[in-house]
Amino acid sequence: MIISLTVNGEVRDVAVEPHYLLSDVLRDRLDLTATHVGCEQGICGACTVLVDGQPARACLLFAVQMEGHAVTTLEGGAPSVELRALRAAFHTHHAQQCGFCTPGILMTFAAYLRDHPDCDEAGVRAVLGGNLCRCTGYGPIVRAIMAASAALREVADV
Amino acid sequence: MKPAPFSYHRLQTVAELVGLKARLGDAAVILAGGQSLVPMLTLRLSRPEHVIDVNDIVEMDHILPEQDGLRIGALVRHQHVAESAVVATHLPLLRRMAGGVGNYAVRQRGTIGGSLVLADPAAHMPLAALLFDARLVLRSARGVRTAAYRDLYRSPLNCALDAGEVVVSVCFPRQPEAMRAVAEMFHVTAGSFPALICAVRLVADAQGGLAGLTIVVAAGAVRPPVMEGMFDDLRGVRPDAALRGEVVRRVVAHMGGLIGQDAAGRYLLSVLEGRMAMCLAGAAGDTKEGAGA
Repeated sequence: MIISLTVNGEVRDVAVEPHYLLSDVLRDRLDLTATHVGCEQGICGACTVLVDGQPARACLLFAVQMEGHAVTTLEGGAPSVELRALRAAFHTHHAQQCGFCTPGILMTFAAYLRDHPDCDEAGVRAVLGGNLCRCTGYGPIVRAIMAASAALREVADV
Repeated sequence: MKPAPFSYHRLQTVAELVGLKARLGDAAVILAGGQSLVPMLTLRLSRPEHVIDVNDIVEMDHILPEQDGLRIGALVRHQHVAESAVVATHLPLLRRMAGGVGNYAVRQRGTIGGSLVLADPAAHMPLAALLFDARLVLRSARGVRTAAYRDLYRSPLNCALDAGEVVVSVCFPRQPEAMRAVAEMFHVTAGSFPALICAVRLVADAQGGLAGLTIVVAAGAVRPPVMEGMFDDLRGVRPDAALRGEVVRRVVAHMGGLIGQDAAGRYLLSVLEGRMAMCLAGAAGDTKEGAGA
């Protein structure tokens, strides 16, 4: 069957079978390889994308379900203000080592910081529990997210 | 591994869902949030011929305060419950339990109806539904019926719906003013199923004595027991430290009989003893000892 997927604001027609996972279709059919696939069981969070603006595991969705919904991956044409702040802070705080988990973390927190502008570190740590970093570099990741959150508040105050 | 091929059906209304389920029977599974079903399909623990996607059925996506309680549509996501002002007003513990499910991304997709039907023995929402004696509204080609979740939940992963039945909504009964509910969740790692949840629902009488006490514990992969009748002899007694100690002793003894006394069981029981005391102190309003709600 051919479905129309709205990915990063672009409508893409793609041939799929109903049992094709969104993560596979993004990577293998649409060449959007920023969405990483780790465990493929919803545990590791590396494949997290935004569906209608909210984080979701791409490995726990079938591509066919996404017709009529907006999917955003890390490649997203016009990155949100939150994503730009996170990228800058990850750079400054050296918040990635091998980088495998980074896309999922960036997508998760782009949504979380948008919806929780006054988040605290305990809240950030609780949410980060949904993304595994096998390099175990959580300290710099938490610092980068808190720095991005503070930077966004500064922008909002001006 | 990848899921095996299936036929996909995407429906818009409950009427269509009931009709298709009647026609396809056990050859079809219902895909709601998919946070447990899709891993089972990927691991090929389940290989249905048909998958019925209910995510577009907006008539199952509502939270409504009603005369006799709170009605939550089967398709309501955990994050919606966790952030709902209506739930916070009527059943603050339910809101907190929903916020403990999985992790942030999982809560955006996972649904209350899906979680209750799956009946995972370690899960938050089934435990809350058992504690508050929630009723499920079930539809099939034969009509509508309402059933207590306590009766439907027979054993782990076995929510005994009749053939062709689907869950449309969940009703949590209105609670008395003097009700306090507290839960403690014990996670070994963040985002995983908790190793233990204990929950207390305490209703006080006008003199501050016990008018009702319900305790549900999820531990050790057994169907979480609803402990209620075993406290009948304590009615009218003030929930002071001595009484709470007695309740903890009975709960630990009861759970010990269910989950066994091997090393893992003994460890869980020792955790239960401490958490149970905290819950009871919180429910009795003794915040010096308790963690509170």
